Amino acid sequence: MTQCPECDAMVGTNDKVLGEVFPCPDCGTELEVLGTDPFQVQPAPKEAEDWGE
Amino acid sequence: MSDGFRLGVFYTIIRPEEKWILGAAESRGLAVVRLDDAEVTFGLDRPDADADVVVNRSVSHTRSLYATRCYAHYGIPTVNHPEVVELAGDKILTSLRLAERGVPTPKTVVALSPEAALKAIDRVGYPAVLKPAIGSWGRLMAKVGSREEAEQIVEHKSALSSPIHSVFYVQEFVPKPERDLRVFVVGDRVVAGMYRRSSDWRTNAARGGSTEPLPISPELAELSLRAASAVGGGVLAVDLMEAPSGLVVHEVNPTPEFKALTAATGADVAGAIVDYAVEVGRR
Repeated sequence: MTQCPECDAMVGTNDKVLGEVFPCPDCGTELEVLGTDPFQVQPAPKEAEDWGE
Repeated sequence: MSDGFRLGVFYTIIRPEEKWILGAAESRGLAVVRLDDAEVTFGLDRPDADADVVVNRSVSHTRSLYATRCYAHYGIPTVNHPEVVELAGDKILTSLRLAERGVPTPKTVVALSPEAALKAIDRVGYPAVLKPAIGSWGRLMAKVGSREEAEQIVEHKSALSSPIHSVFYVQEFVPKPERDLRVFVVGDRVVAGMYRRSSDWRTNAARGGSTEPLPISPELAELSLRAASAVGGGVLAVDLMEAPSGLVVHEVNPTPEFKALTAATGADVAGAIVDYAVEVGRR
């Protein structure tokens, strides 16, 4: 578990993998897993103009 | 299948799709090489991480273009092939290719300046749809109902700094039912398909449209495979609309999402992608 960098809520579960993006359950900010041991997150990269399928 | 085969996954972020691909590779005993598109570097002589095949899952068209070219330079095959990434990642190039191959597609006119854009929209007729040539998820698309709206939208687009917004891709508005069709092609087969429903004229699942399984008729399979083959084939999501004249292909996506498709159909899309990538890597 670690704190959401936006709202300080405690986030993280055992099923997350490195690089995974998930929304903070409290504030909804998209977070990216930076490390799993210890569990660390940062705000996910912002969508760029050339992003898509 | 293992025998030390290394499957690279080039990615921007790990969404459920990438997680499933990593899981499918691991369950097949493959060695997985994770390639973060914000971290890897590409020398002229050798890659900084080796692989037998690389599955491109980067959401950035620019990064996908250069990375797949670099892997081709090293002799490492990619899914998709760099030429497919280049073609299918650009709506203008895709439309040209679909037309060349006789795949039915909406009426499309391209313009390279704001002045020409107004002419292009007039030529397509109203309502028309303006789309960025690159990018997706329904972002920055506009439905243009009149000449007055066209002038306003073209002026706004012209004020955006990126040169890509000075390229105008204008398409006829197809009066379809409140749904479109997505068919997922891997190699020479259709893996699954879904309807995407929305009361919004943009039916992209990323915009919150609902989905349901799409029965694949022989006609639909044939047209989807023909569209995929037209851009070079590989792992592609073919988007179609039910126009009054029949089915038309409006997009072929080279790095498709499949979370909604998996939920709607239960198809093992990730497994199909990994099996196909291994096949490409062993050729």
